Amino acid sequence: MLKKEEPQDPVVAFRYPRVITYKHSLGYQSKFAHALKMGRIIATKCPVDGRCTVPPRIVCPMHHVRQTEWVDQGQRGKLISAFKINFPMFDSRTGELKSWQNPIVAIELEGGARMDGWCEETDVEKLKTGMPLEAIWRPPEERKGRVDDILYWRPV
Amino acid sequence: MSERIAIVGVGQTVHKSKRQDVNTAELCAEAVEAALADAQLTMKDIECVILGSFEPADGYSGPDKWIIPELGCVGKAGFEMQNVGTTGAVACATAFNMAASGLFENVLCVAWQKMDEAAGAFGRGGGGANEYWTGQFPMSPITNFARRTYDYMTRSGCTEEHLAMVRVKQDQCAQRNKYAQLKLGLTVEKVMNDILLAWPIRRLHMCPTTAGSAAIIVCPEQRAKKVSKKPVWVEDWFTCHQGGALTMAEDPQASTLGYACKKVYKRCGITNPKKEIQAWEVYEPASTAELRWIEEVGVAEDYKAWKLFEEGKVGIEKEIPFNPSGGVTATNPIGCTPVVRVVEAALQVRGDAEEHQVPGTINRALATGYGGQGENVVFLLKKTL
Amino acid sequence: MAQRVGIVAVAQTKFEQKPDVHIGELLYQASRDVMGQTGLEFKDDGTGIDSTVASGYDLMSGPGGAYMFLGYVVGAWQREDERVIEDGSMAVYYAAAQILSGHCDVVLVVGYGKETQINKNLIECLSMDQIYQRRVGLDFISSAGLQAQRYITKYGITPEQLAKVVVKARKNAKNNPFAYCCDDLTVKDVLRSTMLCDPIRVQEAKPTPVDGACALILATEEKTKKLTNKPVWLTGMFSCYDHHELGYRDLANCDSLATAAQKAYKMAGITNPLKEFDVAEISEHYSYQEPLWYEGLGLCGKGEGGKLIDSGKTEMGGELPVNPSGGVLSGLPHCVAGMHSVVECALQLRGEAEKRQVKGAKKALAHGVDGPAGQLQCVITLEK
Repeated sequence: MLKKEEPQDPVVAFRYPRVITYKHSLGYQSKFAHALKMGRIIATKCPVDGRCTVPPRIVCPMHHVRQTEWVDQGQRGKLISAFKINFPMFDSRTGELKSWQNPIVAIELEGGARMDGWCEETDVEKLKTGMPLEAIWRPPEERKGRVDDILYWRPV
Repeated sequence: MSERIAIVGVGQTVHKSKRQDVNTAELCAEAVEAALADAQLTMKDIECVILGSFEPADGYSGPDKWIIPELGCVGKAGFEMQNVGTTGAVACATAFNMAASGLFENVLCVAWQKMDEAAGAFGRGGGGANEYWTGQFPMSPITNFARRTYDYMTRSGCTEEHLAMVRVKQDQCAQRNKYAQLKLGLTVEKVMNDILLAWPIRRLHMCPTTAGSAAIIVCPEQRAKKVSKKPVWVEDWFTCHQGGALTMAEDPQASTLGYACKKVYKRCGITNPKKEIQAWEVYEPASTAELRWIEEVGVAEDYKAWKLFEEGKVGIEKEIPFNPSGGVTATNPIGCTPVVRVVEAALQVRGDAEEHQVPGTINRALATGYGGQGENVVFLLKKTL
Repeated sequence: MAQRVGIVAVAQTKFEQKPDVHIGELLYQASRDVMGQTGLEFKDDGTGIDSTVASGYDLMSGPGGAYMFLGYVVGAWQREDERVIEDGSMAVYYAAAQILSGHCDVVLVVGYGKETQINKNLIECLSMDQIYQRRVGLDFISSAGLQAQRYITKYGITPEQLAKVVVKARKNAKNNPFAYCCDDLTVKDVLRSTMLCDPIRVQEAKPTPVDGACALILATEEKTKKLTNKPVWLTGMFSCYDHHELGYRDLANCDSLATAAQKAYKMAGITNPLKEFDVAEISEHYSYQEPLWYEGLGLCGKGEGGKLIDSGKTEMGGELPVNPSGGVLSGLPHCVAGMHSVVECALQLRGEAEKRQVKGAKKALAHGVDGPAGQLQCVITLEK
């Protein structure tokens, strides 16, 4: 540690202006991504207990068996929980710090799988556990097979 | 266990939000020197060094490479461990394994995080477990615990006031710990009027960003008895990981802590944890998590822990000495936090925790590490063999 | 060592560029293979696998905790699942320590690398000291260039000797169905290839990017004997750190490797490694490293690495065949390399190395390395 009387220039700020590009392959998830382009949500089903998982997984984490069956999850689901972020957070897609108006909701889909999404209703008070929600999609030509192809979940 | 092991020395830095007077290696060296002095050993005695740091929060990849020489550990065995939030816990477990394996007599475990250098970017998102899935959400411990707490409140019927009580208790403990970072003199009103991050999580409920380091020295039985007057015996440990990336939508209360505790209690023959364990150092990334953790470690019934706070039963001199050091909401150098828990638990067992010492004899203490979205590591420390 | 640790089963995927395959699938393939061979699963009653040790760099797999979703792939749900962020040999070392400590009986070790999803050099640069070394642009390959220069200057190693290393690796790889690069390269081809980082030429560096995974299962002596009739025992192991600052060490020596080797040999009771080992798998990310590591491993005296290559003793059919699999120069992902050494040694000792089999192999030497200019070294000795 530096003593008070010593010359102090302790902080050096370095910027590393570099772009690190990750090219993640979707692998078995590409089927799901393709379905998103078609406006469908599909999930893998565990052959042991029939539990559906989104994101789809190659192996059931609990039973460690390969999941080969795909099940359509429908367009609607019921709300499990919701919350709103009241401070700026990074958008990891762009790296920008921004404010988030819409609440994040957890939804149990008709097919039984659970997933997250943004909610169109910005007032959290109006969201009640168990209420039905439906998926609002981007127009087909704008879909890229990403989870944000589903723009919002709208209370029915 | 083929060889019983003991912690013979512990050390930690005074944790602060900024440590611009030292670089990362010098920060580690402070903790290492403290641990060596505590054990009355020198670096010459150490044969194996295990490091732990959560790289993305520091901005390095494999920082062990340049930190090792600065600690004077050239020519020694070792490697670096990492497991997100449980990094420090896994580093401890590795050090325990290395000492118990009979390969080494003196094992040093060092963990650190200097979060003032990476601008705290991690806490504000971008730490998603899988870019494809969580890229659209600003994922962070804050959103994770907002959901957990929301769910806990619906299930248990506790109010925001109870959450504030937990935070106040932690602050009261932290004020008595000279190493803790945040000592704020909080009241329930102050907490309830703080900035809301994501309901019901307020800024004060979340763990801070900290620059700090901690170290422990572990020896096998014979060696420990020789070098230390007050060895703290490591009874058992279990690292319970669930492979992460359960999306947030899965059961918010799903956690591996209960599972890990049951497993460890069974192995050690503990039937009544509340009586048989006298001090608890449990990793709560948000103060509100402490409610659920008290239940999961077997001290309170499910969804009833908030009543203990209402009745004022939790505290250093109280019935349930939970996090006497002030816990993680007071001090949180991520990768190092679980090591701080082990250090504090060891101090409690030795009776050396000074102002925040739990009264009475501490025969057993439990420390945990938490990471990701429900990964837990449990350690049991003991006074006598 | 108080008791012996045995290798029960080993597996590897084919090493190649697989940009379209999810990293989890690589891991699943390798781990499922070893679990299938032994019939072991993750169980609660102590009859299955107790713990998983993985090796891999976080920033290599994705920004921030990206490895986390990999745990479920191997089936380590609610199980001990720890990760060494060094070369794979260190993961084997730690897994063995877990068994020796009595904490676990059966441990699954996995290593994965997917270099096609990231520029390796960008991440490796982040390992360097941030105030001095990054500012002068040092990364793993430039420090390797410095080390190579120092080594060949001090001991008069010739470019032909180094080129022979590559030729040997590629030729050996032709016998290995899992290898990425195998061809009939000649010394001339190597010396004509583009200069990458003087004196390292393109053909003299590890081919990159390449993807793949390795897995092995370690167990206590008792369980190993039950689980397999071809046990391979880990007899000695040690890892050792050197200085990070290149100026602090004589780059023509590798002191940390010498220390690691001596300690591991002492545990295993080896006095003359060149004679006593029947096969060796060592990690040479660049051609100059093979003769240099020979010296560190005590296979020859200081400065004699080049002569050992000329003598042909380390070729297939020689006194101590080194890298019958082709080794890292035939293309192995980062962090998998050292674990692959152990896997290949185990295959040799089990007599299952097929076309690349060294006849009657009884003792083997595996080696892994991490960090700039071989800073962190790990030596593991194996016996039938």
